[in-house]
Amino acid sequence: MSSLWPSTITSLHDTLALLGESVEELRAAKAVDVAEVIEELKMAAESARNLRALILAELPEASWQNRQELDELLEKIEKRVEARNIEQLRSRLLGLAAELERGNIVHRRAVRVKQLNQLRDQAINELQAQAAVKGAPQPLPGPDADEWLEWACCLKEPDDAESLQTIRNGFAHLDEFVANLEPDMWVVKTETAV
Amino acid sequence: MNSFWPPALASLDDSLTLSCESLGKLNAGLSIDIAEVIEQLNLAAESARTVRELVLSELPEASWQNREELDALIEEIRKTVEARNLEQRRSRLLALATELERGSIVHRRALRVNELNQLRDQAINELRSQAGSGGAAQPLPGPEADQWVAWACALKEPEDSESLQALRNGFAQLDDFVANLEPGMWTVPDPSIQQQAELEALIQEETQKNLRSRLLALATELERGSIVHHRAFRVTQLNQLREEAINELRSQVEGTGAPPTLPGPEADQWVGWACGLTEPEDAESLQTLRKGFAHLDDFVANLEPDMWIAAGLPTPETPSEAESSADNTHQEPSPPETHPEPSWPETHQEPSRAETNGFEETMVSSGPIPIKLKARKSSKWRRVPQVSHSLDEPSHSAIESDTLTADYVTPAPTEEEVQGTPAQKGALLNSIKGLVTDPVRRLKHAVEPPVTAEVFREASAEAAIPDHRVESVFTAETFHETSDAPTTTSEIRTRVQELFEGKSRMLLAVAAVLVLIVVGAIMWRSHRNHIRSASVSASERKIPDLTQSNPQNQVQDQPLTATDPNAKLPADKQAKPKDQNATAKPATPGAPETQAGKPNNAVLQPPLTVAKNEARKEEATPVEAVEVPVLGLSNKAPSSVISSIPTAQPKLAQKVQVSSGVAQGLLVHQVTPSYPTQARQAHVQGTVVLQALIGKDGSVRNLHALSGPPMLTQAALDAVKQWRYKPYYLDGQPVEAETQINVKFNP
Repeated sequence: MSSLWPSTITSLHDTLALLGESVEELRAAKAVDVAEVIEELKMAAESARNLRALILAELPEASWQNRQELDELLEKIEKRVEARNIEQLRSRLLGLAAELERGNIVHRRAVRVKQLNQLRDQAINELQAQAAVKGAPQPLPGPDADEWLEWACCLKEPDDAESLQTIRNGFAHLDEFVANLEPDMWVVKTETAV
Repeated sequence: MNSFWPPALASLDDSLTLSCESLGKLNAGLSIDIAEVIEQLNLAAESARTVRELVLSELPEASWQNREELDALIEEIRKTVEARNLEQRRSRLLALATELERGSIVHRRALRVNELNQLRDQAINELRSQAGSGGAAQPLPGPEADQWVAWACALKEPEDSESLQALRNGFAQLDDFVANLEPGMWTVPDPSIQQQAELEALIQEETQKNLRSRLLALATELERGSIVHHRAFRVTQLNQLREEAINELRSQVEGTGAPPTLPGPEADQWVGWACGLTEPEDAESLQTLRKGFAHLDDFVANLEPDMWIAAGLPTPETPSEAESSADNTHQEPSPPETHPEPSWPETHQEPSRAETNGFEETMVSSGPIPIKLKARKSSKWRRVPQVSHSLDEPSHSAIESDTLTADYVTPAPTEEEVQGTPAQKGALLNSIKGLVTDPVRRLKHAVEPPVTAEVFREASAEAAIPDHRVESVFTAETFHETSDAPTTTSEIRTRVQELFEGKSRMLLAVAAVLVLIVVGAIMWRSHRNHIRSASVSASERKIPDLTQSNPQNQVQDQPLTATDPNAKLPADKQAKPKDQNATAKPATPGAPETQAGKPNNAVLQPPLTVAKNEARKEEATPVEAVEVPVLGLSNKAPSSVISSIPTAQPKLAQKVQVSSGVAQGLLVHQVTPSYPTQARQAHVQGTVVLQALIGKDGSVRNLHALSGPPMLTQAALDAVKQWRYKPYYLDGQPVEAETQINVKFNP
């Protein structure tokens, strides 16, 4: 869901609450600042317009008549957005696993290459296992797959402790792999014309 | 929803409902018409303000926080208003009942009147029972009570069936009454007319009071005045007439009804005025007098102007000691002349004609205390010093000489009485002495006393009469005797004496008598009629004098005839042609030196006028000492009865209370009050009663509300303060008028 949703809805609710108070005062025949009420009304109308725009952006064919229908619609949109986000997470994990499979480890010592390949295989398995988990997978920090190893090999403590911690918590094998991998030890096979 | 004030609350709730619907749409993220919602919010705010004002108008101290508290307050107000409406309804019924009681039924048949009166009584009872019932009184359709009967009589079926049905259902007896009543059969007295009648009654009462005061003043004036005539019998007759007139005046004053109007001036000038009335010129005044005051009319008809000496006027003079001594050598000796200061008992010891030589008639006078004999030289009514002189007090003049000349009437002031003006006194007494003792005059009067008396009176008038030639001889002498030429007078007298002592004395006397008879008769006839007019004109000129109780004013007035050279000039011219030489005569040696105080005055005065005015001067002091009131009346010139009313109404002229009806009649500029929008929306109506003061210029002042719906009060005040009225006049003068103004508001 877009980040505009909460603020838009909150703004609408706040202005409507103020308007409600003013209306109650009018109902009690008490004096109100009509200009202020009108200003609040305009703000509420603006918030409603934004909300409508957001809904129609998700569901261009959506229509509703009242708040209840709006709430149902909002809930539906929210589920849709959540499913889309999980799928995106899984795709990202699988993309990184494929990227790890595609690359080669280069080192002057074979034993070191062998160790790093084992770590790579464990990370690939871990990523694929996470992507196969039912429900929302662990969020993977960092950029897309093709840039991910370079980004991860550059993480330093304590500067990137948060991202490192996230990797470590969700993807322990992946974290161990990138901790042993130096940026110049990773070579990605490029498609060469035969 | 509260059923009370449905329009205002409904408007508020409606506006809020629409606004809430719009807010609900916004809450659902739906689009709304912002302009419409803003309009609804404005309407809601306006309605809320109306409701607030409604609540605060009924309960100014009210406060609330929410709708529940507002509803509770409205419920409380509703009960109060309902109670008030109920009371108003009852008041309306009672007012109509009162209105029905006030009105009268007019019909050509008494039976019909009785029937309608019965119906009216039943309707009144019905209205009162409805008003007195414990529950809610039936609403009475129609306008206010003062217009209700006319409205009800104009109801028709089927056009007004609703009102008729309401009337029939709630007030069957009243409906029965108005069904039988025709509009022309109902009359209601106008309250403004009643108030006007009260005002007129008040004015009439003041008028009567003033009139009574006037009658009393005249009665007192008649009592205090003196009647002078040379016949005692005539004096007695006139006294009787006077008594009857006085009794008549007093009985009119004591009468229960309004006394008849007395024409003429104030009391101190009235007799002079009345004696001057002539027919047919003054027929109207005479007729009024005759109708209202028969005895008074009888009295003044018998009274000649010169027979009346008003109270407070100077009395004629008596010879003074100085003149007595100066003329001793020319006169027949008489005991009083030798008396240095003659006293009243002495001067009145020979009052009657029988006691004179048969030619000279004494003037019999009747004053406040029986009949008096007084020396008199003037025919004018004059104020008599408040000194009692009874008839049995002999005149000094009478004793002094058996050649008593005609106008010896008023008690001559003694030396003590005239001490205030010794110079005038001396001159005056000298002149009198000369008159009394001069043989020429004595002879003249002896031959024709009536003519002489008449001429004497004429000559004594203020306006000198040119034809008084006979008098001019001795008057010129008198004039100079009173002046500073005593020596010349003495010489003349010596020559005259010698003349009479000679052989031709008798011949000359006879010739002189014949001449005097002829001239006197001519003059008497020619001026017989002129006497009255002269007296009247003189009285008119004397009006300001007579009204002046202050001696200063009397003295100031004297210059017109005595001390003012300009004023004396015409009279002087009249006197001079008759005796040019006489004017050059030296003053009488016996003239007292005390005359030096005002010698010129005497010299320049025409003879008899001098005598009269000097006499006035002399008597001014006693008048001042006695402080004769002018009957408590105004010192102003004579005024009519009506014109004298305002003097008794100073309180009325300050501020009067007038009814709203009268004020309505005076309204010249009316500004219609604007109906307040809120009051109109709230269907607030009623009458605002204002209290206002209509200024002398017709402007509205001191305006304030007495009652009425608070929401309408300001509008009524704003409008009425712009109204303009014609000034309310009371007795010809604009006065401030306080009134109530009812401003009705019907949406």
